[in-house]
Amino acid sequence: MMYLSGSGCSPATHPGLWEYLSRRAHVAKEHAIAHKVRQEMWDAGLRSQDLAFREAGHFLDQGNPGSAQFVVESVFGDDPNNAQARHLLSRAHLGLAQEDTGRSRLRTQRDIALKMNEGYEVQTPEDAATIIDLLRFCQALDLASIRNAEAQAQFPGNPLFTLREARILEQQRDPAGAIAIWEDVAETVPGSRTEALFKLHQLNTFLGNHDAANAAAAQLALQDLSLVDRLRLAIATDQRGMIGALARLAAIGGLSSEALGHASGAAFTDLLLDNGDLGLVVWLRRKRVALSDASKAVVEGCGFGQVPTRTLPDTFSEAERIRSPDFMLPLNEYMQKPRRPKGWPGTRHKVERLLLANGTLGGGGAERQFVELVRALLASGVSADQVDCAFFSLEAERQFDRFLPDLAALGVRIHDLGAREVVNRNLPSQVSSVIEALPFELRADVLALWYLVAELRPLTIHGWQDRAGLAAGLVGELADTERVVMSARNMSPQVRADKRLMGYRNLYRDFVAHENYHMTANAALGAGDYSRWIGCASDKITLLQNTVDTSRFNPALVAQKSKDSDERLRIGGLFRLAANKRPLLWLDTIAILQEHLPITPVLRGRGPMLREVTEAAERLGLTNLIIETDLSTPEQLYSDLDAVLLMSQVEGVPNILLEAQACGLPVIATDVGGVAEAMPQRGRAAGLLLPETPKPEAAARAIAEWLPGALQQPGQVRAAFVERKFGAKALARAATDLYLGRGQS
Amino acid sequence: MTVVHSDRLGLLGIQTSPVAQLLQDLPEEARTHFLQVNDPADDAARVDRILVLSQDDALAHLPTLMRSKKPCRILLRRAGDPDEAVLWHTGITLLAKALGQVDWPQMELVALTEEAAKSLSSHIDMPVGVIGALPAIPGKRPRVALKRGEDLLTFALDASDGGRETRRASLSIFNWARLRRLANPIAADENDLDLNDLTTFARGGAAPSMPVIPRNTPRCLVAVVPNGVGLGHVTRMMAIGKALQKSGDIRIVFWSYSRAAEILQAAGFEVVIRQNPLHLKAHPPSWREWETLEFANTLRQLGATLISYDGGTFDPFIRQALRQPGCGHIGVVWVRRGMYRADTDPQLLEAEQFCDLIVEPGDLAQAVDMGPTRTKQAVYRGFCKSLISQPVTLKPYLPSYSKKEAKKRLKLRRGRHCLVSLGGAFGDWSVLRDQIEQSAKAHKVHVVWAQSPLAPPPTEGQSTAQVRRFYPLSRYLDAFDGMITATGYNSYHELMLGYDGPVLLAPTNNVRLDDQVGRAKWAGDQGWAHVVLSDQHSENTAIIDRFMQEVRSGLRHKNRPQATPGDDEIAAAFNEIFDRYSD
Repeated sequence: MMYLSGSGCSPATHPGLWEYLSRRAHVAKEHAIAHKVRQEMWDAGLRSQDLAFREAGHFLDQGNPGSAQFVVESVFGDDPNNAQARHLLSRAHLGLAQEDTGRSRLRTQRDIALKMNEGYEVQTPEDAATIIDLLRFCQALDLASIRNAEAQAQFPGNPLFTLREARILEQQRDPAGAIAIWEDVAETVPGSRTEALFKLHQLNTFLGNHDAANAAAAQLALQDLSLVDRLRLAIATDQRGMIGALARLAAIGGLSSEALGHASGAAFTDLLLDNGDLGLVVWLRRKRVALSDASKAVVEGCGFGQVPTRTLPDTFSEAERIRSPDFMLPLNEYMQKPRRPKGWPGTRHKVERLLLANGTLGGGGAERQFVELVRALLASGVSADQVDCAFFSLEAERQFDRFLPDLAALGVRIHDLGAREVVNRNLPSQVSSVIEALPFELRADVLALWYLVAELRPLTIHGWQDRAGLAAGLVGELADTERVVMSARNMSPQVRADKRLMGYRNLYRDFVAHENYHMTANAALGAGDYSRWIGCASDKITLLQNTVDTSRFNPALVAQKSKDSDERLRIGGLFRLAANKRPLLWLDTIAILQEHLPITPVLRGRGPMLREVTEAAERLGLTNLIIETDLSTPEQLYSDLDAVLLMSQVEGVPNILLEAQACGLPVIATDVGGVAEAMPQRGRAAGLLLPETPKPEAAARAIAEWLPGALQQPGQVRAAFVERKFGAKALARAATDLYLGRGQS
Repeated sequence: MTVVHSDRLGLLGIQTSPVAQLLQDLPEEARTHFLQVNDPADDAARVDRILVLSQDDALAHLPTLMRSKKPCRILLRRAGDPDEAVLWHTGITLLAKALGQVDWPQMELVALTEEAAKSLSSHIDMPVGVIGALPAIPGKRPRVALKRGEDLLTFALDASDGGRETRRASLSIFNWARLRRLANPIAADENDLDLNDLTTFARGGAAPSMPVIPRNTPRCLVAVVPNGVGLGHVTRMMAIGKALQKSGDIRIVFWSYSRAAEILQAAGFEVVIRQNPLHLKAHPPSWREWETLEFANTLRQLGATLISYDGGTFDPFIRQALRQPGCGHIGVVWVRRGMYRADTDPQLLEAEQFCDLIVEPGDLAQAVDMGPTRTKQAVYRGFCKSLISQPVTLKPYLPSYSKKEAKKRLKLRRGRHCLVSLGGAFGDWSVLRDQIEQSAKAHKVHVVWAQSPLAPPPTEGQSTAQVRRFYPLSRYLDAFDGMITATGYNSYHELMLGYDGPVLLAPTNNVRLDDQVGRAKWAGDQGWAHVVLSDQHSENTAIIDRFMQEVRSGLRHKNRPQATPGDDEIAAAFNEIFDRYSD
């Protein structure tokens, strides 16, 4: 460079010479020199296509996607026609998304991904992988799936695309399909066996296939995993003792076969931090284990840093006990907030600035009730412009928007927190120190909700299910919101064996201690269960009953039903095809019931067990079983049924039972959660309550004995029961009381 | 028949877990050397067998454990917190599933009790044995109810007056092998299966008795002496050591941070010389970790059954070492003199919970003791008993030289000699020093300066006086016609109980020391000695002159108290603790 610079042969006057030198350096693998030469040429304004390719490639290899994007766009624009430029720009966009990820989920920008996908020519497997990832990380799953299928055809046998196919199926909520692929990968792709086993454990756990999940985890336990992967296994299986054992090993430098270096140390401590094990991270840092910059910032922000403001753990067991969010409780003391006067915030007279939050608007009962709540509130006089509704995701391709049209029709403002652009991502330091220290899942939710709350400044936040309730509780404290309502829609996490939520018991305990926080449950049984689990007085949890829109669900719907020509009874199962609804028990019962009564079984719903249900029906010879996955209107759901059967393992107060009875249909259900509260036990309107875990034979026999008599009763008696106990006015009144602080101490 | 191992058992898991601590009480492990295994791939070669202390540890190390090819027992624990039974179930099922897929003939699953073994075996459908049975500990002990996650123990203890006394202690400071000799642990919550298993195992009773291992070595006491101010800790502990040796065949080893180690050695004691983090310029937590392991190793190698500590604050390494496997048959005696300053933080008393016995060497000035050991009581007293003994000095164990012999050894010529011993290298004595030298000169008394083994030598030309370095003071008393000393416990009691010449007390008013002023004034009030105070220079001249006149005149004091031997009661108290922890 010195010679060239002093030779008088500048890039401007002798571009060919410089071009030649850059190529020679590149061929000689002198990448630093080649880059320097190209840089001089770039500075001199020599921005050729070839130069842009090489420079962009160099920047991408160096992990600098921002510069790569600039170079490509400077020469080709942001929508290049040149195939190579498009590949490089796509890689740059993917790299930028990965850079932005930090300690949250990878997400690419949809508009950019779609633009890059247009006219994208695949020449190499890497080209294909880039565009597939760009698409799937912005949830353009159908396009990603098409691209992946093309790549599999173009590069047959390449495992890159087998793995992506499984991931896309998982994103498309076809875990059974994904499992089939991962099982194959685990056996045939040695390099991806560990990843495949982790996926098999995760997906089978999701499906409730505990044996298969354990089998995958057991194979992982027997594998020679890295310390980081072994920690992943411990976290995935919620084995706190194992986490501790691995952390002790990390504290002395790791396995003899694999000393914990900077990158693996940082990965190890990041995992711990995402799991809420802040104390262990602090301990490991004191043992000289490397931390990522992000983790260091969290540790410092929490007062456990180099100049500690909190007491550092003296022993490992002390460190183990410092877990997030528990170590920050009570939160108001942790944040050193001044104490509010007794009675704050008093009562209000009108519902204003209400923010309702939930995970999604997918096709579940809780989501349906969310819409009914809004409908009831508006009907009671609450102005639509005072109501904002926020959801962590409304992705259409994952069917998270099932009730979106219904809600939109009510005229309230709707916020998709997953797709919402946040202009100012800066957080006040006190808020940041709390949010950044939260476990991964909770952190992502709280962060998304906090930005919205900071903008809207609602007077009341109402989190509709556990996930949204926890986020609402935390954000309410961080943003000094007047009132927070947290609704439980089921039995407690302990009864549901929800391991993730079980870890937040102390957080719930902190929330119920606040005067301005209220918890609700939709069934007395659920309220009692939550209060026992939390350890609070039962009157701390208010009953907020489900409701049914009786203008849409009423006996007139089924009056003109068209029955089978042979007058067979149509027994309906309307539920999500998931483990906690026990669809296989439903099928077993129906198969035996067929021996007693002439019936046509109808399953209406979708879910991760669709494949298993279909296979089981075949096995049982239920050839007349009708499975319909896309019905949603009251007419479609109920008009042709004679009775509804629910065999769930866990329930709150099932909407299906209320809706079916509102339509005048007899209902049969297992005695779990709030089911008994959802149907009369005696009298003409009585439903049939089966034991919590019935044997199919006994259940079928009981149904066969009971149903003919029940069918003789007029549907109006059941509809009257629902109207009386679950009317919209009662719900609106109870919710409004909570929002206004009426009737609260 | 019990097979007694005498090999190396590697423990994989938390070394200070109750089970690891209790292992040494298993008859078959009575001669076992317990070694820590961190990574079986690395450490398996150093051991003959491996015991994995929980299913969690097994899951964390499964592949390397299998490859080690060592006989390996995996201890399965039942669910503890009923709220977390789901997570427990996941873990035990996972391990069972993994073990079901491999052929591992050297592996054996064990549980803490028969009941646990049966329950676990039916749960995982695999054979589960019992780890072993502990012999019962004879004698009456208080029952302590344990609750998961609670460190505070509250229990009733028989008081010396025949009544019952409520005591408290932190569970985490005890080695369970020691705890079961102090108490009968039970689980407070019957639904906590693991804690029930653990306490049932700890109470023992299934094995008939402890193994009889021929004892061919004496009982061993390790005396920890901190790097205190002056020689008080060392001297007092030497005196007690001599008393114990007189009472029986007891090996005494000093673990000493004091620079007076050579004194200990000269007195015939074994010494392990240690360096504190200040000496080493080490990071204290790192130093403490190493010190814990070193101390624990030494205790195991020596077969110590008692440690004594003479000092104010127990360093955590002592507690941590006693929680290591193989260190559970060791009692703790705290030798704690009184006369703390009145403003001393009473928090120091809380270390009582860690001790079996607190011996307070009696103090002649006890009537004016305003310190916390006299006026306050620890909140956490654990299982400790207290003994206030007669004053302890070395004099009974080291006979004094005759006047002639002492003078000869100190190379003192004819005339009146006054010894000045102002303690260690603490305090500013320059004014007093001048006053003493001038007065001595005026009264024709030769001043001899005692150089403390801890003090730096006097600067060249600083004084024309004679300097002598000797220890202990008590052997040379007859060489002197008068004494000027600080009022630390040892000098004070050696002089008041064993010297009849004139004494001038010059107490050090140092916040780190005991209440020397109180002690000196008490002697002054009783007419046993003259007293000069560092903040009363103008009055001191006359006092020193009066003292020098007495020295010059050869005055003898007849009114000082008589020494009463207290070594028997101290030895008896120590031996009671020895008995508690000896097999």
